[in-house]
Amino acid sequence: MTSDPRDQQSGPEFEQDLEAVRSAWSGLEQADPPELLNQAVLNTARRELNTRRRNRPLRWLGGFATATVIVLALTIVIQQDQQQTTPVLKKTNGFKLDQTDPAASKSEVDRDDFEETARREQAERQLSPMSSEDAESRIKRSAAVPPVTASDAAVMAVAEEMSDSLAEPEKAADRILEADAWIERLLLLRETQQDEKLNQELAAFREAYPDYVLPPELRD
Amino acid sequence: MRERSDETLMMAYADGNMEAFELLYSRYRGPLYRYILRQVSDAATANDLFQGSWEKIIKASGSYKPSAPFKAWMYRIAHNHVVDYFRRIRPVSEIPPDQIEAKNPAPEKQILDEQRSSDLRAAVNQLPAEQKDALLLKLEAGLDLQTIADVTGVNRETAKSRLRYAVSKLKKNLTEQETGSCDD
Repeated sequence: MTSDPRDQQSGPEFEQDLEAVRSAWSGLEQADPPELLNQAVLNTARRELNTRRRNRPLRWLGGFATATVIVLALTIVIQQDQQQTTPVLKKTNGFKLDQTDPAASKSEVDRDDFEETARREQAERQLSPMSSEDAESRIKRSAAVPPVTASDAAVMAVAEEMSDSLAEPEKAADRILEADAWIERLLLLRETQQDEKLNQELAAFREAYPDYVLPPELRD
Repeated sequence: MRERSDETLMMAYADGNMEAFELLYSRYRGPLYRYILRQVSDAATANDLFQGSWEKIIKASGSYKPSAPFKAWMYRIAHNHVVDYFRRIRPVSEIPPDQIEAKNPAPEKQILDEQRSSDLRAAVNQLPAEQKDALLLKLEAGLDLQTIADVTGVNRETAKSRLRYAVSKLKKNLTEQETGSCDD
């Protein structure tokens, strides 16, 4: 701190005077603080450290409490969100989760298989013209499909609700599947000779799908 | 730890290292004590001011930033403490130098040896407070002009001017003493 070059710019005379004063000053006794005073200062420094150490855990505790409150608040918000979404999940999965009746469950599995088969046959129909033998075999297979029950109707209603909630592009695909399923249902009505209901359903179908090409057995 | 800088030691103390403070204190207790003692010329007052200065340094250690040189920071605290003291007791502190000397009578056999030192102290005590402060920061604390300016809160030219006047007066006093002793 004494080697600042700007200090040298004060002039040689000043430097000489300063050196003379410094020399005389060094002749003064080198007074030091009394030992008791040293101890007092050091004790003050220790007390200050102890005070800070005592206060430090409290500061840590404050931070911890703040973090805990934040986590708790987030947990509550997340739980509320989950509670709001759970009924929707239950609704969409309702027809499977709520199935406790083994007979109804079996009926549901059969219906799924039937729908899969119907979809495959629809694709085949579109690729190749249907022969009379094919039509007969289809009718026979359709006869093996279990009759529609009340629980099936409920399931269909839920499925329709689900399809309504789907996005627009998916909706078009679902409508084709619904039409196929509906055709299969009409075929079933025809097989079970429920003519009155068949006519009602057929009229509703034509209204819903005016461009759909009906299978020959339903055209009459 | 002995090679560590003042700033590092101060930060270590702020982090709870008492040994760092002890080392720092051992470095500066003498110079700081003498800086205060030469200003008040009264051991009891110097003790009080010295302890008060260190208490302030200790309290402020938590907010100390190592970007500031510790030495300048410490002397600034001590300087302000001493200035506050003089502001409080200015009316009764104008003790003539001869009275101050009479308070601390030296043993008779040392009188001749210490005559020159006593005269020098008396000459320093006759300096205006600002000039004496600048001189003591130079001679006792070993600070450069810029740091003296920083510690006393003035610009560098003012600090330089104060130091110039103080040195000039003391040199004149020393010359008169030498002349006087030659005449004797």
